[in-house]
Amino acid sequence: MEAASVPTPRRAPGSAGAPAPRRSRSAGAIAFSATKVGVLVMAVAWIVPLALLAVTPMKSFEEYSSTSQWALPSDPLQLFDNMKQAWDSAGLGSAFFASLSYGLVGALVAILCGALGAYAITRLPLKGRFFWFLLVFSGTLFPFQMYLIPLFQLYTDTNLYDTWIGMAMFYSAIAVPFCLFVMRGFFSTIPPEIEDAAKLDGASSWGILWRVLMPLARGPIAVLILFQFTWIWNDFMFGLVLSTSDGVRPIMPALVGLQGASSTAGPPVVLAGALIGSLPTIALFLLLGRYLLSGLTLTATGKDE
Amino acid sequence: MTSEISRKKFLQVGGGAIAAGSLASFLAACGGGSSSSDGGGMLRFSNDKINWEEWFVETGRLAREAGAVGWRPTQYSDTTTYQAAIKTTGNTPKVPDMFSWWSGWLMKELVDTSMLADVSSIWEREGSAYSDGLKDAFTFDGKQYGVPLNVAYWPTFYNKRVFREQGLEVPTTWDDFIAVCERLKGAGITPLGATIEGRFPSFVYFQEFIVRTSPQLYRDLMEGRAKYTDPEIVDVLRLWGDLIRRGYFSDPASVSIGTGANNFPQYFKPGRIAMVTFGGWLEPTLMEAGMRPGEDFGAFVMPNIEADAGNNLIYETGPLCVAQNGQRRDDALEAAGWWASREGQSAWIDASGFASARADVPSANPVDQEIDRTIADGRFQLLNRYWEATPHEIVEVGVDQLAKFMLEPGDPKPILDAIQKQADTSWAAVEAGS
Amino acid sequence: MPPPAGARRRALRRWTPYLYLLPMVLLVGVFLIYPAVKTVWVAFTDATGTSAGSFVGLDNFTRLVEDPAFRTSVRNTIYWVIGALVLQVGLGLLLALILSNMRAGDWLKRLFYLPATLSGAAVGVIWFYVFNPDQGLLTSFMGTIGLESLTTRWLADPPVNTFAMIFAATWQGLGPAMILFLVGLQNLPREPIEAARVDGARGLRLFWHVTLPLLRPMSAVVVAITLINNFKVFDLIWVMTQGGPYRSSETLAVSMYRESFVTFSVGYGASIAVVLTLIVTILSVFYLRSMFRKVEVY
Repeated sequence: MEAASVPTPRRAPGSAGAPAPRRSRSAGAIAFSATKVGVLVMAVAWIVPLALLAVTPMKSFEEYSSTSQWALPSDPLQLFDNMKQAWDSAGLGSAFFASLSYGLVGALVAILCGALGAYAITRLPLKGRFFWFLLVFSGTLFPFQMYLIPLFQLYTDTNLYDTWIGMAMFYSAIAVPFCLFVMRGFFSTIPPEIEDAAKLDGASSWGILWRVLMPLARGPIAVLILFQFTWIWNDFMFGLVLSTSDGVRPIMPALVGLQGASSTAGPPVVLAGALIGSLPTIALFLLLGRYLLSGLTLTATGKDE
Repeated sequence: MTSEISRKKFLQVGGGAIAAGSLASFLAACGGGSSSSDGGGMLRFSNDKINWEEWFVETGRLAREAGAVGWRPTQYSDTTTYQAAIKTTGNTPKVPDMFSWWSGWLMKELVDTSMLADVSSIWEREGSAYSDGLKDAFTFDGKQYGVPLNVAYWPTFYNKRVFREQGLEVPTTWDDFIAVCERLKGAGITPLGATIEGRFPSFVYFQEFIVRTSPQLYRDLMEGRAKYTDPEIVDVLRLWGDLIRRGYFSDPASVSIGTGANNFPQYFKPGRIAMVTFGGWLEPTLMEAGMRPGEDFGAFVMPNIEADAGNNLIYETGPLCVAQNGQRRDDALEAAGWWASREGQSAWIDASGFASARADVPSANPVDQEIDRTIADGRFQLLNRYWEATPHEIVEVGVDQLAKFMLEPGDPKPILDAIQKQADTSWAAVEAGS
Repeated sequence: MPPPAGARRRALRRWTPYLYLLPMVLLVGVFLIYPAVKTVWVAFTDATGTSAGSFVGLDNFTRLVEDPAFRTSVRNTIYWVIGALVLQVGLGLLLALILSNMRAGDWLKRLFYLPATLSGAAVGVIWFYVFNPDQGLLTSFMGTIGLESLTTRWLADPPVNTFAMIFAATWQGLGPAMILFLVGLQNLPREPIEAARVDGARGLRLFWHVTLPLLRPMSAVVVAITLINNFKVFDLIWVMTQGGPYRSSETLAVSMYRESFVTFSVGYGASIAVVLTLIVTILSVFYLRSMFRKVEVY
C-alpha cells in the first residue's frame, strides 16, 4: 500500500529497511573483516577483466606484443586510433546506429504491448487470464535456437529478411514476454481503490491505464528499458541470421566480424571494438541502475491478486 | 601530438558517421526497409569476406566503367549464416545475382540442386590463362559453374630476419628442413606456428605432410580410394606426432592464426616463431602488423619428405558463382565474364593485393610473385586443400580429430579410425546418391 | 430502436479486453510461437539446408541416443547447470547477504552487476584473452604467485575448458542473481525475524532457520532463471571455443546450432532443440508454480 503510492523511492537501495540482521558486534570483528577481505578479493577479480577491456585498446599492436597483458599502456591516447580502426573496418558505424534504433524501438513497443496485455489480464473482465499469460510467457522458455530456422525461412518468404522493420518487429516480439511478466507483477500490486476516483470521473479503461497506472510505473518501466535495450543491443545470434546489409545489421554480428576469418585486426583493435560495443549498455546502466533495486522492489511487494 | 590530431580526427569521423548512420536508419525506416534500393541497376553480389568490401566495391565500379554490369557487395559477417542464406534462397528469386562460394564438394551440393549457372563459355574464352588444377575445382560433369574469385597458395612463410640472424638458408630437402627446425629450436625459437583456433587449421600440416610424401596418396584419400587407416597415412601421423613431441610446433591452443584473436603476428614478427605453413591470405595480417613482404617475411614450398614426390603445392580457391535462378542471370554472367578477364583480374589484384590466378596478370607483392615464378618454373602440380577436396562431413570430423591429435600427439590409431568411420558412411552415401 | 446499438456497445465492451491483448499476442504468436512449433515439426523430418525433407518419425531421436557427441554435450550441459547453481546462485546469495549490510555496498553492487550489461560476445572475447595459455592474464598471474604447475591450456583441455567458460559466465551472471536476492531480502517480513532475534537467534542460526526459509520464493525464481539461462548459453561458448576442440565443450545449445547451421542437418538439429526445450520446460513448471503460489515476485 505504502510502496505503491510512492512511485519512485529515491533512497539508496539496501541502505535502510533491510531486515537482515544488523551487524552483530558480539560475533567478533575477525569474522567480519574476513568477509570484508573476501568481498574485496572478489571485487578485484571482477575488476581485472573489465580493466583488460579498457586498457588493452590503449596499447599499440607493437606494445601489446612486446609487454605483459598486465602492463599499463605507455600512451593511453592510442585508444582513439584503435577505436577508429575498429569503427572503420567492420562497418561498425551504421551497425551502431541500427542497434541503437532497435534497442529503443524494440524496448518501447514491447513495454507498450506488455503493459496493454498486463492491464487486460489484471484489471479487465477476461476469460482465461492464466492461459493468455502462459501463452505469451512461454516465449521466453524455448531456447532461442528453437526459433532460428523457421524464422529465417519466414523472413525470406515474406520480404522481412534483411529489413529494418523486420528486425525491429522481431526484437519487439522477443522482449514482450518479460515486459508482460514485470508489468503484470506491478499492476497487481496496485490496490484497485486508486482507480476509484478516476472511475467516478467517468474515465474509460484506456484513460485509467494512461492517466493512473502508467505514471505510477516509472520504476518498472526504467528497469524494463534497461533490461530490454541491453538484451537487444547485446543480441548476436538473431542479428547474424536475419540481416546482412549495412544499416540493417546490428552491432554484435558486426563486431564478431572483426574476429572473422579474413580479419587482419590484432587484439588491441578487437578489444577496442568490444569496448565500443559495450559503452552504450554500460552508460545506460550507470544512468538507470538506481531504478534496478527500487523498480524491482516495488513490483515484488504485492501479495495475492 | 600525433595522438591529439588523431583524436580530433576520430571525433570528426565519429560525428560524420553519426549523421550518416542515423540518416541511413531513418531512410531504411521510411522506405519500409528495402535495403537494395540504390545502386542503379547494379547487381547484387553476396559474400562472407567482410574485410574485402572496399575491394569489391572498387572492382564493381571498374566493371561498370568497362561496360560490363557493375555490382554492389553485401557482406555476411558469419560464414555459417552465409551458407544458410545462400542455400535457403538459392532456388528462389530472392537469391543474390552472384555470390562467392567454396570449390569442390561444397560446390557440388549447389550444382546438384541446380542453383548455379553454367559458365563454361567463360572458361572457353579465358581458360587458357588459368591452370588446369584451378579449372578442375569448378568442373562438374565436364561443365564449369564458377570463375575464380580468389586463389591462395599454401606455402611456408618464414621470418627473414630470424633466418639471417641464425645463418639459415631456405631448406630444399627434408633433411635441410629438419636441420633448420633443430637449429631454431636450439636457439630458443619455435620453428613452426600451428593452431587449432577456428577449428579448420588443424588440417594444415596433415595435408602438407601427405602431399610431401605422395601427392597420389593425397588425391586417393580425398576421393575415397585410400583409407585414413592405411599404413601410409598412419606413418604420416607418426612423423607429425614425432615432430610435435620434439617441440617443432607452437602450442596450438595459444597461437591463433588468421582468425579468432589472430595473435600470430605477435609471435612471428619478433621472431618467437620462425615459420608457418598457411594460406596466402595470411599476408595482409602480417602486413597489417608492420611486416614488409619480401623484406621481413618470405615464403618457400616445404621440401618433400619422399624425394620423388615431385613438385606440388596446395592451393585454395573460391568461385564467384552466378545464380541460375537469379533475376538478372544474363547480366550476372556478363559481369562474371569481365571478372575472369585479364582486365577484371588486374583490377582485382590491384585493389586487393592478393595473389593472381591468371598467368598473364602478375601478383601484387614480391612474395606472391616469387611463388608464381616457382610454380611456373617448376611446373608445379596444384592440389586443392583438404577443406574443399573431400566430402564436407568427413572434413568436419577430420578437423576435430586432427585437433585432438595436435593437442595430444599419442597413438594415431583412434584418431584415424574415427575419421575413417565417417568416411565410410559418407562415401556410401555418395555411392548411393550417384 | 435502441437495443441493437446497446447490444453492439455491450459486445464492444465484451471484446475490448481482448483488443488490449491483441498486439502482444500477435507479435509473440507470429515471431516466437509459430517458429517454435514449426521446429517441433522439423525435428521429425530429415530436412537439410537445401531441402525441406520428409517425415522420418523418431529417427532423429534414436540417432541422438547413439551419438557420442550428443552424450558429451549432455554431460557438459549438466556441468553448466550445476556450476551455475553453485557459483551464480550460491555466491549471489552470499554477496547479497554481505552487501546489504556494507557501507560501500552500493558501489560494490554496481561493480558486480556491471558485467551483466556486456554482451555474451564481448564477455567471450575478454575471457578468451584472460585464458590464453601463453600470455593470458590468468596464466601469468599464476606464474607470479608460484602456482605455474597448476596452469593448463584452459580452453583446450576438457573438462577444464567447460569449467573455465562456466567461470566466465559466472563473472557475467552473478550480478543479476545478487540483485534478485537483494530484492528478496528487502521484502522479507520483519516480524518473524524480530521475533526470532528476541528469542536469541543470531548469525548463521538466524539465517538458516528464519531468513532462508522466508527467502524461499525468491530463491526459487533465481534458481529457475539461472537454470534456464545456463541451458541456453550460446554466444559465450561460440566466441570462446566454438564448442571445441574436437567438440569437447559443446552444450546442447551449441550442438543444436552446429548441426543446423554448420553441417546443415536441419532436422537433426531441431531434434536437439526439442530435447533441450523439454528439459527447460519441465524445470520451468517448477519456476511457474513457485511464482504463482503466494508471492508476486519481480
